Amino acid sequence: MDSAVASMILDGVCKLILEQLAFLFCESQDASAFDYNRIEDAYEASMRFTGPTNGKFEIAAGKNLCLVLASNILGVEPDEEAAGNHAADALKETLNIMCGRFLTEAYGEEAVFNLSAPVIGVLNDLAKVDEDADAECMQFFETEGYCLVVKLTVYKS
Amino acid sequence: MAYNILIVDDSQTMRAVLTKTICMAGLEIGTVFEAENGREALGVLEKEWVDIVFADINMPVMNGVEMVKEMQKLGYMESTPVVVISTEGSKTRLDTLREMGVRGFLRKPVSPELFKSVVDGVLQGSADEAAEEVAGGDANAGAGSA
Repeated sequence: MDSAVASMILDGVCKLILEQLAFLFCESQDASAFDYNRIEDAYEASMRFTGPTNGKFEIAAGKNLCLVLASNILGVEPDEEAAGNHAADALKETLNIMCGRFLTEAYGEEAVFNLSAPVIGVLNDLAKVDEDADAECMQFFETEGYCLVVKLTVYKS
Repeated sequence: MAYNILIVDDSQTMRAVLTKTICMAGLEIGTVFEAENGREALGVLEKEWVDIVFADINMPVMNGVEMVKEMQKLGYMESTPVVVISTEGSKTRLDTLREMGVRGFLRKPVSPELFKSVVDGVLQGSADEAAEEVAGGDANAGAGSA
């Protein structure tokens, strides 16, 4: 898949899911001007997919944004204990839903993909180019004053 | 009637949201059982009476498709309706699950309105089937005693 097309689909899917799942309205950010330092004290999650195409999704967001995510999804205040307990899991689930929606939008309803369960972990440098990748695209968002990065890597078959 | 519900999802956040959604949908709840994967869910089904199962597909240890296959083998699919709630958008996979006996599908994120509509349909379908079974049973009994 062409990187530009993938980026366009990914951008739309990320915004839609954040709005539907957590009532967060995002603005896309210019990649060249994005300051990674704005994502402080981050949670990072990743998951892989296999099927007609293989690849992985990664997401990184500051803990404060993860608290907002969890609190909006659960319908509690960000300073409540429940939001803190669910912050990392909320990010994982957000990635999971984005991944599922992207694959259907990009490859159609007939394609069958197997998704790994998303895991929280320290990601490699997101800006680093993966030599095994056929295509990579990264989307940058800002919402509620916080930043979020989503990266898609499609591997050579 | 209060329903015993089993929620199968590896995300604790989604299990919490779904419990809330079930309450908002006005479903009368007996006990809510939770499982993090298909294997745990089968353990619950072995020990407890469950009226309806809400299951994710993408889970570690045993995924939702494998769980439904096991439920089919063990004969649970006829008595316990399963509604799949996942990110899955593949028509091919959903058709396969439908053929295996899954009664309803919801795509995450789930709106309470859509949830209520699908679950009402599934539970009404189960009630109709149960009524048909009772009617069929009566007819057979009648035929046998005649």
